[in-house]
Formats: sequence, structure tokens, C-alpha cells
Amino acid sequence: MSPRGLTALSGVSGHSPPVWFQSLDGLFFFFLNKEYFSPQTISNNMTSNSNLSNMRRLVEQLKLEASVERIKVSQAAAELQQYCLQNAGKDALLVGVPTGSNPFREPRSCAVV
Amino acid sequence: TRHLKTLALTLGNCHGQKIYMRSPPIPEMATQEVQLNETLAHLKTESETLKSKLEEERAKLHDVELHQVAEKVEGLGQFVMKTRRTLKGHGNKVLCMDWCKDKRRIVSSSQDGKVIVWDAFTTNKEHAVTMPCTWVMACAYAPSGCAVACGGLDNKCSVYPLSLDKNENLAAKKKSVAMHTNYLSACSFTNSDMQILTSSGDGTCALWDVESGQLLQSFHGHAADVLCLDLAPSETGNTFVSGGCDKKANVWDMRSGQCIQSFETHESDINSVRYYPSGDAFASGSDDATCRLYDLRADREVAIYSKESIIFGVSSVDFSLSGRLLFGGYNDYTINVWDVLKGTRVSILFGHENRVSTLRVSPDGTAFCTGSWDHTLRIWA
Repeated sequence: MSPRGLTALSGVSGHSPPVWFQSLDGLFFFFLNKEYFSPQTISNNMTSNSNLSNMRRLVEQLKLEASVERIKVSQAAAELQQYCLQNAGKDALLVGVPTGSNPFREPRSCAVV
Repeated sequence: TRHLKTLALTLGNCHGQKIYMRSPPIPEMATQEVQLNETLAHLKTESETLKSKLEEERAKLHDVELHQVAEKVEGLGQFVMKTRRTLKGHGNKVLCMDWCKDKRRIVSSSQDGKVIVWDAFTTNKEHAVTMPCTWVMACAYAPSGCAVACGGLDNKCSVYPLSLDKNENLAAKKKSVAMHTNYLSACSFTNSDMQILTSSGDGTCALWDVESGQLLQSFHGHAADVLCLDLAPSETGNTFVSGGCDKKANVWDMRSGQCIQSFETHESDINSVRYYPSGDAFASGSDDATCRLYDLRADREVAIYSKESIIFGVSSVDFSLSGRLLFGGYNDYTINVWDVLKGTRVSILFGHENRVSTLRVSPDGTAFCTGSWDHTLRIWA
């Protein structure tokens, strides 16, 4: 039931906190009804609050990630390559090892039980 | 005017005069709702701005591709890698395996609820434990070699000390360490037998004290199941990387619980993450059929390992000792071997008769082991 001469300033729904109205002579009103303090209204506000804290956490996390110090890919790539080449000699799967020193390449010995 | 705390209620007209009554002070909820919506929108905009700024900063340093830098490096020759051992004994799909530091023992876990410790040289089974649940998705060897940890659909990670007496019932000494609210997807001891790191379908990772079962640190940030984790090589400090169904790979500080870097370039679930041996980068394998390499100091993806002909997901990845080779176990039963620097595939290995579900290179790099849904494990060298 919309009082005459009043303009709704925000969406009206049975479960949202009160709607503000502005009268023709400029005064602001809202209507106190029992839905204002309903559990639904309170839980709507709490969900909004938890969405808010999640968003705040996300923004803080993004700020942290943005502040990481970075180096150029060319430098990072060069260092990855250098590590590979320096350790290539020890990499049995890459270069193989002298016959006899890779236990898996030997035929397996039988275990005497 | 929107924040009026008291307001006038009109009671109606009385002889042409409006009558007003001051209401009692209104609680702040009405104004709060309005404020909340404004703040939420403001934060959304801020987060969008920060995200694009992050991409911009990363792009600025993207001056070259890894394979371009590696053009002058000698190409790799032909590889002769074949199955050297086949470990048979599981009654159902092998889901996970781990090497012991002694480079010969292996622990594996299966959908049938069994956890088996093998001597990979001789293929003999040394211990077997039956878990109270099926789908034991995670298992790990303790650094000392004296215990194994495992878990899965029971939502827990339990530690079993390994007895020298082969007849002893291991299940009797079982210790429940971690408790999650969904399945355990991965577990790993840290540098000692004292602490275990876990990841779970409940979207979190956690660090536990083995002796007391106490939760030491939890890691929140994934938006869906966390499927895998890997600890940084000990020289590089206290961090680990995790991958999840939210397509993100997150790098965490173990002491603070903070996510320090996050990467989201995969197009599907990340099933496996593994650090590059130097600790400066990590590789990931995903259901989107690609493996990717992320450099931590450049803070971006630096290589994609993919082929049009490869359409099945990657379940598991690991590097060879020098980091030059990346092994990927795929859902199409094969293992693809990639040249990490040049981005090309150097070999494709056949042998398993069903999905490869797990793959680890041995601690000294002389061989790698794969586990499969075909119930077997294979040692390749």
C-alpha cells in the first residue's frame, strides 16, 4: 500500500531493510514494519557482511601478489638453462651412466628366500 | 540525508497541519545496507583493477620465450628408456606412489585399500597394510625410511611405522595425524618425520605435527578441491606449491600460511605440480592435456608442453635430476617425455594398459616409477 504523495527511493521488497520515501514537501520517511527486524533481513545483512569480508580479503591478496618483485623472463630463462647444463652430467636418465652402475638396467638378481 | 538516524513519522493531516513525531533513534541497519552495497561494488572494482595491473606488470617483463633462449642449446638425441621392472600385486587401480630416500624402496597405494612397500630392485613386497577405506589416493615415504603416510576417502592422513619384523601387524601401530572434511588428495613429509603437509578435497592444505596430531598451519585460498602439492627443495626455504580444481596453482609460505604467488593459466583441473630441481620454477600437469612451466622469479608461465595430437589429461609430472627432461603420465596410457628448455617432445613411452595415475623420478635420478589403473607399477630406465 503506497501512501499518496510519496516517492520510493529504492526498490521495494518485503524482505529488505526499509525503503526510503521522500514526500512532496521534501521530508524523508521510512515505514517501520515487522519485516525490518526479521531473521531474513538480519541474515541478508550477514551474508552481505561475509561477502564484504571475502572481497576485502581478495583485494588484500591481490595487493600482496602485485607487490612481488619480478625479473625479466630472459634472465629467468637463462638461469633455468644454466642449471640444466651444469647438472646434465649427473642426470642418468638424460645421458645414461656407465654400464654396471645403474642397478635398474642390470638384470635383476634372484632373492634367495 | 541518507544517513538520518532519527526521522519524522507523519501521522497524518490534522486540520491541514502536518503532525510529526520523532521516532526513536533508528539502529544502523538501514544505513548499513546502503553502505555495504556501495563498499562491495567499490571493492569489486578495486579487485578488477588490481587483477589487470598484475597482468600488465607480468607482461612488461615478458621479453622472450624460454625456447628462444634455448635455441643455441644442443638438441637431445634418441632416448632408450624401457620398463625394467613391473611390480604386480595390487588388486585394483594404483593411485599413488613415492620413493624412499634409499633409492630402492617404494610405497604405493591403491583403490583396493592396500598400501604396499616394495623393494624395486628385486620387486619383492616388504610390507602390506590394508586401510579401512578404499581409494587410498595419497601415500608418502618418511625421510628416515622408517614410516609411511597414507589416506584418501577416509578424509584422514595416517602414519604407519615400518617394522623390521615382517610378520608384525602394521595396522596396530597406526597413528591418525590429519583430519580434513573431505578426501585426502596428497600428502608429503616435510624435511623430517615430524611434520606432514596435506591437501584435500575440502579446498585447503594443512601442516600437521605427527606426534601430537596438532594442526600447525592451514592454507586457505583455493576455491575448489586441492588435488596436489609439492614442497620446495630444502635449499630454497619454506614454501610449497599446490594445484586444484579451480585451475590455480598457488605458492604458499609455510610459516605464515599466506599465499605468496598464484598462477591461473590452465584451462582445467591441475592434477600434479612439481618443483624444478633448483626451486626457481615448477611444472604442472592438467586435465587440459598440457603441462606448463611457471618461473617463480619472473612470476609467470614460461612454457607450455602440448601437442595437438595429445588430447588426454596429464595425471602426474616429474623432472629428471638436471631439470632438462619433464616426464608426464597421461590418461591415454602413455608417458610423454619433454625437453623442458626447447618445449619439444623427445619420447613417448608405451607399456601400461590403462591410465597412468602417478609418476615419480627416483631420488638419485637413475630411474622413474609409474603407477597405473592397470593395477601395476613400472620402473623405467
